[in-house]
Amino acid sequence: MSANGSAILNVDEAVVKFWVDRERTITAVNGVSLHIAAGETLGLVGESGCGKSTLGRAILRLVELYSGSVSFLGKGIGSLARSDLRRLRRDLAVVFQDPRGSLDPRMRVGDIVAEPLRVHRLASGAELDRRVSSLLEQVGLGAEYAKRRPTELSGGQQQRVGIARALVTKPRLVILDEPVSALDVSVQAQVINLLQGLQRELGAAFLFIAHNLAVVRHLSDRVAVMYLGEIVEEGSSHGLFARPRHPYTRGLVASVLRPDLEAPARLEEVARLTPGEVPSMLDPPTGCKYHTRCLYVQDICRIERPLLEEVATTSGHRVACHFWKSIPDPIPIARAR
Amino acid sequence: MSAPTIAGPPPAPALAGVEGPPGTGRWVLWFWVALLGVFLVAAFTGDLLAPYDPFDQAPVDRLSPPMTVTERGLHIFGTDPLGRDSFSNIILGTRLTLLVGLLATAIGTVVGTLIGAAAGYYGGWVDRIGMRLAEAQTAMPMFLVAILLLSLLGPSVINLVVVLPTLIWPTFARIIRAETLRLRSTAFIEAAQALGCTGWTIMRRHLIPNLAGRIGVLVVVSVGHVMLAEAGLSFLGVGVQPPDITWGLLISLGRQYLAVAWWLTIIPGLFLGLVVLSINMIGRHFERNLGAAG
Amino acid sequence: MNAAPLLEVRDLKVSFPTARGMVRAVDGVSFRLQPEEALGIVGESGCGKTVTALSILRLFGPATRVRIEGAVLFQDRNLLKLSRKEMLQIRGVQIGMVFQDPLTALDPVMPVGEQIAESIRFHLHFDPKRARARTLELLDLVGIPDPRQRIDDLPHSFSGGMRQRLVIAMAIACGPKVLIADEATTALDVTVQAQILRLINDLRRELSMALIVITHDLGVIAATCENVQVMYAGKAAEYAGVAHILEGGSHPYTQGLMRLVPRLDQDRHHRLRPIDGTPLTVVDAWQGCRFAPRCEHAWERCRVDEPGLLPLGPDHASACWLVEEPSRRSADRRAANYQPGAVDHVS
Repeated sequence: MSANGSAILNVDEAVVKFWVDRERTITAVNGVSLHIAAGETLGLVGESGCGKSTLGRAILRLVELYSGSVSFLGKGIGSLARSDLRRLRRDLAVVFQDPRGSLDPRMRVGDIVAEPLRVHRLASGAELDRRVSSLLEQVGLGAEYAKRRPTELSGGQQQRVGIARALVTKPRLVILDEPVSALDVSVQAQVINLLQGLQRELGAAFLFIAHNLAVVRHLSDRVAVMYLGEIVEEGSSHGLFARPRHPYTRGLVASVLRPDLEAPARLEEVARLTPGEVPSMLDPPTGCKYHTRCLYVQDICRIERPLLEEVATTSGHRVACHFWKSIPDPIPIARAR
Repeated sequence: MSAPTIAGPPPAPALAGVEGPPGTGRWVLWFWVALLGVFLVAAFTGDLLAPYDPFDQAPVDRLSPPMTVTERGLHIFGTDPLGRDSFSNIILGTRLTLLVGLLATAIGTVVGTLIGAAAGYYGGWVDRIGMRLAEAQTAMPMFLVAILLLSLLGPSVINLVVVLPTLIWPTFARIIRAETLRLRSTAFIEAAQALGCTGWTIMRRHLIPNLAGRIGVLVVVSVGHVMLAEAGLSFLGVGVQPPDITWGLLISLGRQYLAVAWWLTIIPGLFLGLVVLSINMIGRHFERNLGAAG
Repeated sequence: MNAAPLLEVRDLKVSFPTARGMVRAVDGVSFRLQPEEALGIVGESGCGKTVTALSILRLFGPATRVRIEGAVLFQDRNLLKLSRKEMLQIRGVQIGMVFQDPLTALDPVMPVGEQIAESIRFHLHFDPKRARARTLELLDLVGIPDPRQRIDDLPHSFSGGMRQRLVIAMAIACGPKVLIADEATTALDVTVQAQILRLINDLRRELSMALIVITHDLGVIAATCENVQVMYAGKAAEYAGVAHILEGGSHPYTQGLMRLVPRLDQDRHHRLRPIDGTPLTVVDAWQGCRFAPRCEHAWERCRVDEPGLLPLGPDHASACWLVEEPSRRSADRRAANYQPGAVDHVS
C-alpha cells in the first residue's frame, strides 16, 4: 500500500532526539516513515525503548521533531502556528495508557468528556449535554456516570471515559497509547471489544500503540514493528503475523506464549530465536540495529542500515533486512484459523 | 551481621485510618472557627459593638486598669493614656487589622501562585526571571526593606497593603512552581494539551484546582505572618497611623506605658496571637485531612 | 497424590482491616505442593494470589495490621507459628522468592556479588573466599555473561532481564526446596520473558526444586506448570492439571478466562467473549458463590450457598455447584444472575 493519496496521516523520515545530559543525546525515533489512510487502523508494536510512544507523541506534537515531517489532513504539523495547531487537535485525539492519571481527579466525568467541546467551542448548553450523554452510552457507561468523579471508577471505567473524551469531537484520527496495558485481563477483553465496535461504527482512523501482539492483532488492519527507533517490518495484520520475515519479528511473534500444551517445548526454541536483550539507546549498535542479537548476522549488517523493501509487489508487506530472502522459512507460528 | 531478607518489598495494602492525632478532631475545629468568627463579626460590626466612643477622651480616667468602673461605666480592659476605653479601641481595631492582613495575604497569594505556576509550566525564561525575582527577594531582609519602603512612600494603609505581600509571595511562587513541575508530567495535563487547551486554560482549569489544597494551607500560614508583620511595622511607626487603629498600633502606643499600664500592650497582643493561632489551627486541621487531592 | 507433600497450605485466611471493613484478601485457600512439582496460581488482581505467597513466607512488614489464620505446613512444621528467628532459617534457605520488579529488589549501592554472597555467608556460613567462588558459580548458572568482570558491578549497570537473573541467583543461592515466582516476568519485555522462564524451568530441573508460579498470564502457566490453581476473590475456583485448564477447565471463571484472552492465532475480527462485571474484593462477609454475579450459569442455589472445592476426579476440583448439578449448565450467554444494582455490569 504505497499510494499516499488517501492518507490522512503521513510521517516522513521523522527523527526525535532527547537530551540525556549536557553532552549526550539519544535518538528515540530514527527516521520513521508511515502513513494511515482514512478509516484504517495501524498497529505499532515493539518492546521497551523502541520509540513507539515517542513517535505517538511526536505526531501529536507533544514533543518536537528533530528532523523529518508529520502531516495530518494535508497540513504539516511542525510548521503550524499555535492556534492552527489547536484547531487541528479537534480532529486528532489521544487515549493514554494510565486510565487513572489521564483524568483530572478534580473534575466530574461529564466535564472531562465535555472539555474538548468547550475548548473548541463546538457545542454548549443542552446540545453539549446531549452529546456527552450519547458518548457515555456509546462507550458502555450510562449517562448517569457524568456526575461521578474519576476516583470513584474502576480502571476499565476510567479508560472508557478517556475513550469517550477522545471521541467527542468526532476526530478523524485517534491515537491510542497502550490503552489496555494497565487493565486486568477480563477488563481488557471488554475494552478490546468496545474498541472493535467503535472502529466499525465511527469510521475514524486509529493508531494503536502497544507491546502486546495479540491485542494489536485484534484491533489493527496493518501493523508496523519498531526496534530501537526504527521500523523493521510492516504489513497487513494477517500477513505479518502469519509469516513474519524479519528475524526480530519472528522472535517477537514466537515469544508470545500461547496458552497451549506445546508451550514448554517451544520455550527452548523461542529463547534461542531472540538471544540477549535490547541494547541501550545510549549506545546503539551501528548498521542494522538488530545485528547484535541476530542469528543470521553478516558483516554488512554491522555497517549498513537496511532499508524497507517490499516482500512482494503490492503486498504492502515490507521488511528492513539485508538477508530476508535467504532466511529459511520457519514453521508458520501464528496462523489464523 | 544483619540477616538478609528475601529480595523484594512486600506490598502492604493501604490501611485507611480515620482518627488523627489529638487536637485535630471536629470539636476542636469548631472551637477555632467560632473564635475566628467572633473576630470577623467584630470587624464588621465594630461600630455597633463598641460600648464607648473610642475618641471620647476623659483624662480623669486615664490609665485605669481593667475592670475599672468610672462614671461612664465599666471598662473591661481599662483605659488608655487619654482615658479612652481600651475595649472599644480593640474592637474597632479588629476591622483594619483583619482587612489589611487578609487583603495583603490575598494579593501575595495571587501574585505568588501566578508566577509560580507560570514558571513551572512554561519553564525557560519565564521560569528563570520568576525565580530570580523570588530568590532576590528572599535574599533581602524583607522586613527592613519594608520599613525602608514605607518610610519613603509614607506610611498609610494603602502602601501597607502594597508592601506586605512582598513578604509572602516568594514562598508561594517556589512551592507552587514545584507542585506545577510535578503535575505537569501527569497524564491528565498531557491530555489537556493534546485536546487543544492553551497554557493559560490548563493552568486555570487543571493545575490550580488540583493545587487548591496546597495553596489553602499556605494561605493559612501566611495570614499569620502578614498580620504579625503589620503589627510590627505599625509598632515601629511606619505602618498604620492614627486615627486609624490596628492592634499593632495599639501595642505600639502602649509600649511606653508598659510598666504602669500593661493592659494597653498585652491585651491587644493577646488578641493578635489568638487570631493568628486560630487561623493556624484551622489550617492544621485541613492539612491533616487533605487526602490525595492537592 | 499419596506421597507426603513438601508444602501444604491448609485453609489459609488472610484479612486486613480497612476503613471499609475487614478485607478478606484470602479466605480459605488450601493446596499441596509435592517435591519438584510446578504449581501455578493464576488469577486477576485482587484475587489473593500474591497475598497467599507473602503469607507463606510471612513477608508482611511489622507495621502491617494483618490477621492470618490457617496453617502452612513445611517439613512437619507450621510456618505461621514459627518465631522470627526460625523463619529466618526458612526464607532464602528452604524457600526462595522472586518478585516482579528486579530494580527494587536489589540494593542500588551494593555490588551484586556481595548481595548474592550475603545470603550464602549468613545461612551456609561460608567464608568470604568460598562464598565468592560460589557466587561466581551462581552467576554462571543463571546466565550472566562474564561473571568475573561483572561480579562487583552495581545493579543499575545491568539490563532488566539481567537484573531478574541476579534476583533469581539470590533466591536459589542456598539451594531452596521451593522457589516462588510472583509475577516474575510481568515487568520484562516479552522476548526476555521467554529467556527467564526457560531459566526457571532449567533451574528447577537441575536443582530439583518445587516451583510456585504466580501470574495472571495463562501463557506463562502453560510454559512452566504441571498443576494449576485458579483463584478468584480470595478463594480457589478450580484446581486441575495444566492440560485440563488450557482446554478450558470446568469452573465458569476458568472457562471465561480462556475465552477472553486474545491470541495471535485468532482472526482480526474475532470477538472476544468477556466476562461481565469487575473482579471482586470481598469485605466482611459474602453470601453464596463469589462468582455468581458474573456467572452465566448461576441459579438460586449459587446465590445462597457457597460451594467449596468439590472433587471432579483425582487431582481435579472445582468450587462450583455445577459439579453436583451438571444439567444446570446453561447455553445462554448473558450472566443469568446479573443485577444492575449489586455489581456494576460494566467494568
